Amino acid sequence: MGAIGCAAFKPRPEGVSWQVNYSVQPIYPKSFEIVAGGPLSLTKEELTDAWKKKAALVANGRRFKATPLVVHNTLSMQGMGYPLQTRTVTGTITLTEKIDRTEDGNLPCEQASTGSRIDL
Amino acid sequence: MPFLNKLGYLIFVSVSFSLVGCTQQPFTSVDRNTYKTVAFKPEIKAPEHYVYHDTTGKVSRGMSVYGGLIGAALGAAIGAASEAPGFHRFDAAASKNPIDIRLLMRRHTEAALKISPMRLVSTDADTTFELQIHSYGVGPVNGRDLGAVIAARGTLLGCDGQLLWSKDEWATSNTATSLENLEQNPKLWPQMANEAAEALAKKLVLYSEPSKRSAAEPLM
Repeated sequence: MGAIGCAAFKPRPEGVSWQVNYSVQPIYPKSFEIVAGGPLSLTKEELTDAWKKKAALVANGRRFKATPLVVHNTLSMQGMGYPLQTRTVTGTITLTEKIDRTEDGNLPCEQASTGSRIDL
Repeated sequence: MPFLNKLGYLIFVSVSFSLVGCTQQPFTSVDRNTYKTVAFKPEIKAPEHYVYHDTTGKVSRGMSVYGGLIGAALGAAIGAASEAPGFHRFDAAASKNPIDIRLLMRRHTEAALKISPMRLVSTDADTTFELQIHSYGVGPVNGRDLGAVIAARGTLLGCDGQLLWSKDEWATSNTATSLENLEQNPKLWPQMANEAAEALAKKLVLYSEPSKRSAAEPLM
């Protein structure tokens, strides 16, 4: 339930289209792979902007480094039996400041914050 | 031969869909109080041929240069009967810069295990990490552009052979390009395979949340 809770209640950045979906995958020890995806009608710039806002949210005020962003247009067959064309922007951030861990060593759920520092 | 191609493809699709849907625990969920060290099993099971899939939806299987004479003869025969229009062109480009998929996956998986919570050792390990490559090749990962795709299973066994953990994952390369560009720059094939191997090792070993099994769509 903890993992589900993390996935289900992650906050959305402000000012991002409702068409943008996010996936955030913690990577041991202190990185997060962030995917911002949506229909092809969303431009690369819109999705990149949405990705940056989510990255700032995930970092929760901590300094981080980001990999170059990868933009892919994909054809997925998982949408209700008919093909879905989507555009995704993917990148990984690595926190460069000390982060607190839970007792089992996993990263805590991200928290919403403002004023994050971004080193993109 | 076309029948064999279709049969092989159907088996691949069946196996892929049988893997879909189950929740998988991350490698980091293994009890680190009980199991502290891991050794990588050098023998890696892998198909002797790669999969080629383009946007026409036709699938072919080419041979690996490491497949031996029998594999080479079989691969050439299957390739000759290939239905995918771009297969021969890709095969010609890929053969200029052949890859060793086992070596690539071993290198990146060991690198990921060194970062993981468990300590990678060569002898007297508490556990053994086994890798089985289900399939690898190229498929459309960015519109019509082709990228490398690898699907594999990671398994952790205890000293007594007990299954401690297992996970199926697939990954693609960040780089994707047209077949025409791949022909002009054949070095892109090993580069893409390397990127996919690195991404897959990261997914198998370092992703730290439960995930769902999914089929490698670019190869289907």
